[in-house]
Amino acid sequence: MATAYPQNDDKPLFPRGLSLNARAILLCLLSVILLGVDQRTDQLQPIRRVLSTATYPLDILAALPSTSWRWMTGSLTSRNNLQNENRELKRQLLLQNARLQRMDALDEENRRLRELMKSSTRLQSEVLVAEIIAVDMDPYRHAITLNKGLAHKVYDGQPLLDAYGVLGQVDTAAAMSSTAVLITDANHAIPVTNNRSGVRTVAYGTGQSNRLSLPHVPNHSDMDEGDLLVTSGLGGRFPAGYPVAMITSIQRDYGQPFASIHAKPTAHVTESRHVLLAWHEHLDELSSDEPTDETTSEAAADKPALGRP
Amino acid sequence: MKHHQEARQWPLWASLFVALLLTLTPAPDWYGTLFPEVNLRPVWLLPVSFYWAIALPQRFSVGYAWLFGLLLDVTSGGLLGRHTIGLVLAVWIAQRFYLQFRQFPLGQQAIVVGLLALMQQLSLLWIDGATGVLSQPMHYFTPVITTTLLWPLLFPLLRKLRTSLHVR
Repeated sequence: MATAYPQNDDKPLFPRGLSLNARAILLCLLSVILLGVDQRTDQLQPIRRVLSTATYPLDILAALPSTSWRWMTGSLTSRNNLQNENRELKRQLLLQNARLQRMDALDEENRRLRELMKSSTRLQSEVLVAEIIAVDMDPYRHAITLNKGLAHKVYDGQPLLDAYGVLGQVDTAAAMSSTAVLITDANHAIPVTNNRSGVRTVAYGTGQSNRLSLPHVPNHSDMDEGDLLVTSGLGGRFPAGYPVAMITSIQRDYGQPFASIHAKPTAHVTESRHVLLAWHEHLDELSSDEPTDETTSEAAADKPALGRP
Repeated sequence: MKHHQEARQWPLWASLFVALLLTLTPAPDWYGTLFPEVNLRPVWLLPVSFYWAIALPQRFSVGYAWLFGLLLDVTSGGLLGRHTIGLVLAVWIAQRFYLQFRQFPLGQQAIVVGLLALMQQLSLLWIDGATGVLSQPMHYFTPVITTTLLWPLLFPLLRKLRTSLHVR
């Protein structure tokens, strides 16, 4: 077997430059430094942005099998199916339009009332539809790549929605694409409030796509199974009032300070093909300090308010 | 000196890019229904890097392994440097002992590749544990098995690529 390998003709007897060992150790050290800097600071964000832009063709290529499969199945759909789908969509559009007409009036009324109350909370209106071009294949990270980037005014930390609720937020915006972290990522946390009782808390991702965890809710607080959790708008990153998750299980162990609560995201985390990027005007009063990361540091900032409705 | 043919290098880099794409490409829908909650996807970049490190140690070395690890970090969206340590260590070991590894029978080589894959997955496990993103530890270890099983198929393929295209 060995004879088939090429002779190392051009291997110098006395190699110049660093030895293999020295290079390997240096590169490992460099990796550790990169990891540390990337974990602790945002200093590497510009480098990541440039590299993500440069590797955009790779993302497109990697998504090619699934996009072409979707295109093929799409173009082979029968006329009958399409007609049915079209009819159903028209019916839905009619219903939604009827609802929207009422919404417009309510929206206007809401705006007037808020002006009267001198409240700074505004309903955001501008959204952009983006397509998911890649799903992160690390099973331990819930991240997606979108086909909209800095060129479409996407910014780091921008909220991401689908038709049913909050999906996640943009992590890094590159020139023509951006990566986003989903709310189910184990490293993500989102400030929420119970739509029924108003109890505020933070919902953490668990790494499972159908489960969020609410670890800091006191046993006695007003939470029930089936309650809807909506974004509280605290922290200034997500607009307030969007559905996030539905409480699925509550276990109150009175020996423990906190109840064990799990919730199921209302957004269709694994099924969405198209998502909405929302332009959210920062709440000037609430987030006078700079908008922090939605990760643990932000959660820690929210902790003092926990459990107080 | 037997340079009958012009030395080519592009198949080496092409195979590494294909390995990168195979790592990145989303699994088809049927995979999720067939194997729910099991991560059977092999780590592709490590065995391909291992092959080139033992076949052409003067061409492919730790520096390039580090670069491809960084590419994987950027495209997969993790921390920069997450994949580089495991890859650099694997290529380093491959290059230290490339003469021995070339003599190994295929099964024994597969075990070496499996151990190197285990080392890389452990490094990922430690990094993710230290940065607090660890969720399901089993997902780190199942790819080691599939990567080991992949080697007896991958090795002849890469060997064919190298000899028929005269990669030096």
